[in-house]
Amino acid sequence: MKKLENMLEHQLNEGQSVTYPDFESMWERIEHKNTTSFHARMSSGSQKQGRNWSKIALVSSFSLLLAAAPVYAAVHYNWDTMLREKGGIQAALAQNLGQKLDQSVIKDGVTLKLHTAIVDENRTVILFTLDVGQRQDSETWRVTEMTLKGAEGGNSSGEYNYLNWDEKNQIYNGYFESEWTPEKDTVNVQLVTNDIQAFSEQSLDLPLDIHSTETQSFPIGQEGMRSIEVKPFTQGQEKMLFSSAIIFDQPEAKEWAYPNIVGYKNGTLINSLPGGTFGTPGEKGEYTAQQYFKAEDVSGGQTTYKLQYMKKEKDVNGPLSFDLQLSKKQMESGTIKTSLNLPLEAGETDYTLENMVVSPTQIRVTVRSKDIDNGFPYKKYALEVAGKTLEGNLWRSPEGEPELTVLRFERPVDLEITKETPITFVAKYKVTQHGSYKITKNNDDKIPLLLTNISQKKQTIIQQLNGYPVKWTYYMQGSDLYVETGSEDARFGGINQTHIGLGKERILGKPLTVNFAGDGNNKAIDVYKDFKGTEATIYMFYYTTDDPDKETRVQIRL
Amino acid sequence: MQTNRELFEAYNKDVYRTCYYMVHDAADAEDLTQDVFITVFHTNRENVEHLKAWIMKITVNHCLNHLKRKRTLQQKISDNLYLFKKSPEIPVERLIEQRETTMEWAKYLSQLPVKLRMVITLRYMHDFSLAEVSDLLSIPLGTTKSRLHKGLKVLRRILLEAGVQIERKEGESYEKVGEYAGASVK
Repeated sequence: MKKLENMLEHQLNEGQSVTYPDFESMWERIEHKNTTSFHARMSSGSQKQGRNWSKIALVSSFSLLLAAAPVYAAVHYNWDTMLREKGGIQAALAQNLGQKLDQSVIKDGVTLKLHTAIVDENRTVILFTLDVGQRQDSETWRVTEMTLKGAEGGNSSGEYNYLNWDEKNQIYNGYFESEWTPEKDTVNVQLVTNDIQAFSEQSLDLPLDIHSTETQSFPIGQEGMRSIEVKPFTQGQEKMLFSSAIIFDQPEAKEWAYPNIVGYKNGTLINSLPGGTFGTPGEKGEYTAQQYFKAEDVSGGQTTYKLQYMKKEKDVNGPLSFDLQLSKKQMESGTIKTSLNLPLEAGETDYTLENMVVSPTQIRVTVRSKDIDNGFPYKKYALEVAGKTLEGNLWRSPEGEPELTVLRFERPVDLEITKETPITFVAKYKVTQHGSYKITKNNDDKIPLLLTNISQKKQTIIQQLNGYPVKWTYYMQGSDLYVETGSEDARFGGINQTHIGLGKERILGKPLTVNFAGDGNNKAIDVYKDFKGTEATIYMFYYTTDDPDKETRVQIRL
Repeated sequence: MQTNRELFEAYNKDVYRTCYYMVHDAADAEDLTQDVFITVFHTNRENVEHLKAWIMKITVNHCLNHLKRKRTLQQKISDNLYLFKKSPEIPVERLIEQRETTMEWAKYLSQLPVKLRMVITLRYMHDFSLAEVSDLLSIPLGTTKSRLHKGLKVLRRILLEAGVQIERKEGESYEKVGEYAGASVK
């Protein structure tokens, strides 16, 4: 037996041919995840990307940030690590198109230094560093409300900043990005930031019973939070939903506390699944959240729950401001503006690609919708340029023009574009909306569904919508009526919101889940508080259907 | 206290190797390693005395959860097929191939029931004492001892069937090994 033991020791240890992965890029992913997940939580409130015609804005900016978690090759630190998603900015820096700023402000031992500005026809980006002195490993810093101001510039739209901890140099690298761009070549503006703050992650035991469907209430008494109410739901076989609401005694703490529920199974952290929503204000101003967990992750074994939140540790009070003269002149030679007016789908007039601006850092495509109630109907969008595929991000609509959708595509470092370069716009995964919030005469497009014998007992009705079997489950809990909808067919996208009755008598269901078009989850829950009666005629505003294989391609000539 | 980066540099190989031998899949092991460090960084470690043991405990838990998730009845049966077969029918070419590559050790280990694999990996990869292994896995010392013993016996049989040479001491018969193997499935 000794022989075998020796063999094992030899085989399992160093020196044997285990091929190790690239630990350097793993480290970057870990760092990125650490910063991103925090930043996604931190910036969801202030960052306003997404579409301003819907309440979805908050969370779409969220998913935009979370969706970016890919592969990167850069090994060195400094800007490259931080700018891994910003190939266009890297390209501009490489070509020396950046404008040197070199200005700094010191307050309470913290130094904020602006290094370089990159200003072109599509956006303004300012690179900065934040030196916080002795930083604890548990500390996460952020810069609040960084914005461009001044007579000639700044409109606070689409502004956000991002910080990335540079372990090697013990400093934060950061960038500020705004969709604002100067009207003329050179303008005077101010970059202002409110506070610079440090946070630590804290947690509190949450003795949650997930087998009870009752609303469970726990005191918190930390970081301005008084108490939390959690209601678990089972969603199909595979998911659990925790719908929670936190009452804040100190409402401003909502800005930074970012509470969320995590599980621990046998000591191992179980994070909720992507797609949760945080911070939607409830009826009484409470902070509500919906988090999904994989049922098998939380079932069996010893699972305990904690409320994780950020505690404010330090606060460097601002405002801190910098006077800047920004110029986009250097970038002008590499900029091409083209008006397109091409249909998104051949033979259709519902959506038109209106124009395109190619700047040294980014490509921006504007799409016009005929109907402002229907957003851009595809989930994925890319540009194919000279053999490269550039994935796009959906941006907010310009102020007062909800019919426009702005798609932005980051330029990779080594991509040359001239007037002769062929470009193809490709959109995939179509999500079609059926119905809308608009009220038509006599509500003649509304399909009624009768819920009978409403009681504590769960009852189901299968409704056929466009060939999809949609399951409605309804039941009373306490004095509230719960209506759950969903379909086993994944191509059914989900019902956005229901209401009982029509016209003035109409009662709106309060969605417990935040329902997105094309998010792959077609299960929704509406609650009707203090519902009286045993029958109801129920309607919906709209539902969506998904066509993951649908693709449209548009050839573009600059 | 070590910084996150220092901790990562010091233990990334240990964590990865453990994951690799536990789950027998390079991509899964890489993902698990990443998750382990994210958990480590998110946890307050000020009062942790024995860092390596603590990190290995987190690693072990991640691997167990991963294996539990992956495990269907079918896998259970196919993983343990060797226990039901009298004489393994492995073609000669494959035997040679297997002997040639040390990577196959991950495969041999992956044929061990998880509980046994865990003990063997911790004991022989990281040289933890039996008491430390008990502590890490939260099992009594006696259980650790018997799992280690059982693990070695079963592994011995797996290796012999795969054609790997181990010097055999006199008096140990294959039948006895077979009994242990049978017992571990129950």
